[in-house]
Amino acid sequence: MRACLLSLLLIVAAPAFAETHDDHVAEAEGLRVVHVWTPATGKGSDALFYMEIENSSAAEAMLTGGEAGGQELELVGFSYGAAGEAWTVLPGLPVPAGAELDLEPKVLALRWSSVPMDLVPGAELEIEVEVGGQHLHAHVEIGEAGATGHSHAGHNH
Amino acid sequence: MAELWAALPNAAQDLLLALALVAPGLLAGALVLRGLRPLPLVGAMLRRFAFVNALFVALIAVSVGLGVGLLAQERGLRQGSARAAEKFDLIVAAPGSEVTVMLAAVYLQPSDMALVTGPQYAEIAGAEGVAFAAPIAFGDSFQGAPVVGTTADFVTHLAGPLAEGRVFATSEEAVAGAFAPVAVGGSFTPAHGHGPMAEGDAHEGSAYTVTGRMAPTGSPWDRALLVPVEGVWEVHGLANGHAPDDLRIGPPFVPEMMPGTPAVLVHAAELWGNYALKSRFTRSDLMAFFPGTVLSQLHGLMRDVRSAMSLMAVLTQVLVTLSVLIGLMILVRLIARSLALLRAIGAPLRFVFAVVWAYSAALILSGAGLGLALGWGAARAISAAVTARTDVLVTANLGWPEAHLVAGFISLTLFMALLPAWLAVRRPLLTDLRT
Repeated sequence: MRACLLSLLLIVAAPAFAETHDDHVAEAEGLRVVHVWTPATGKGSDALFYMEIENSSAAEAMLTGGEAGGQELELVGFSYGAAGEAWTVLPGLPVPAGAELDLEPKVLALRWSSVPMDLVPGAELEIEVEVGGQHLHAHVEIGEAGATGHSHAGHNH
Repeated sequence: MAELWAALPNAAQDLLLALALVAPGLLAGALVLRGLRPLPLVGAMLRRFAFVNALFVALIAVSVGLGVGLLAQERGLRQGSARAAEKFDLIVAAPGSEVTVMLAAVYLQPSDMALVTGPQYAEIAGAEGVAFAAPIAFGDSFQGAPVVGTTADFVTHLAGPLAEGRVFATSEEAVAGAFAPVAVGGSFTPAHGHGPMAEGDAHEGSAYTVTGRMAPTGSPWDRALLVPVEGVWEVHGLANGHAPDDLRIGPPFVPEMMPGTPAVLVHAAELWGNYALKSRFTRSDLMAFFPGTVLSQLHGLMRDVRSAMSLMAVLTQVLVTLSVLIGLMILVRLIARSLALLRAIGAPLRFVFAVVWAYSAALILSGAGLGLALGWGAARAISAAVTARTDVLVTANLGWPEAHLVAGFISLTLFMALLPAWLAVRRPLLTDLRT
């Protein structure tokens, strides 16, 4: 029941958190988080969030993780070997001044372990991305289970 | 419940799944045989129709073996190709096809590629967090073995301590892969290019002496001859990356005197550094990628093919078993008089049912067991052939997917075996006795 309410709250309340007029962008202090998305995920599984992070400030910004539904989001890096696919927790990743960092499938992601509800395609939710000491509130687009990119990938915002 | 299942170790999940798959068939068997002892009679039937039984068992074994062999082989190929790429953390190359660069740099399938220039290499090698950046310069060969220019750091990174000898110390020395065609102490002159069209005399007058041999890596590099990258540049009449009076080999190179390299293997000092470096060198004039990611995407594309193969394997098995069961129904007609006599002397219908079912079950279980062995043998033989052709070490062993396939097959076919047993007891007693 709690999970259902949380799910409903996250999905219905998402527009209220908008930091800009563009739902695909969250920004502060020269840091922008754009096109956050995740494939549909069942309750209890791990959700992986992908995004583009732009640092137009004059200083390097460290991406350390985030938060969703009161739970920690871990920064994870992908590896593939004879044992199969694996995601390893990373302590943080610098985004150099004037540079961009892409969190993309089978490379980098923010991981929400054991999601408390189903993340269904078409719905949106809100997460917090911790980068450069900022907590950027970003809208997440939930794609199909086999999605490989954000619906607005390639668009300039 | 889903959380409890997710919390179980993988081996426990696999074991429980195998048990769940085989349980219905075994349960049916336990119910059919409960309180009865039909096995002596079944043994007699197996002996009496030994040739036909052997044929049925062989049919089932071939179909099970086909499925088991296909699954094990596909997994072996996937793991072998992934293992071969494990040491290639991050590749930086000129913009182009990631797949082409991966095939060239990891699996030594060379193709024409633009070069990473000296200044670009210097930027990569000097980037923060880079433990080493090794040029991978291919294009020459000797007796079919690729001759690859690189650095001593790469040799150690790829194969660990040498199995024999020492790493190259001059631009005229080389380290041989574990199965390369030149022994330690031997010399060779590389041919320009690969395959039948390679120009054998293009580098006449240049020669490398092998000073060491790598331990096996299970990758195409086991057949390669690794030379200092300076040697590759020199035999092609190019500057060797160092000032004319500088005789040392290895980085740092003078950017203006470095002719360029098709690919650079980058190894970061810290794990996270690989991701930061990939981001840094993904730009308009350079391409950075993880071979593991590209390989995983390729294997992902093959997942549908794998699913189709698995389905076809199961269907083949079921069809073969169906034909065996039809054969059994015909056999039951032939032994109808014996079964009728059994009933006439007082055997209960359930006993006759149990005899026919147990007879079918014996054929199915023998065929499945033999099929497992056959599949394992076939997978091993194909693995050896693939390894010989590609130099990627492919080891196909039986695992849980095969166990699940066979468990599901046994369960399904033991259920299907109820049909001939049911038909046997439905036959008219008097007619069969008069036959």
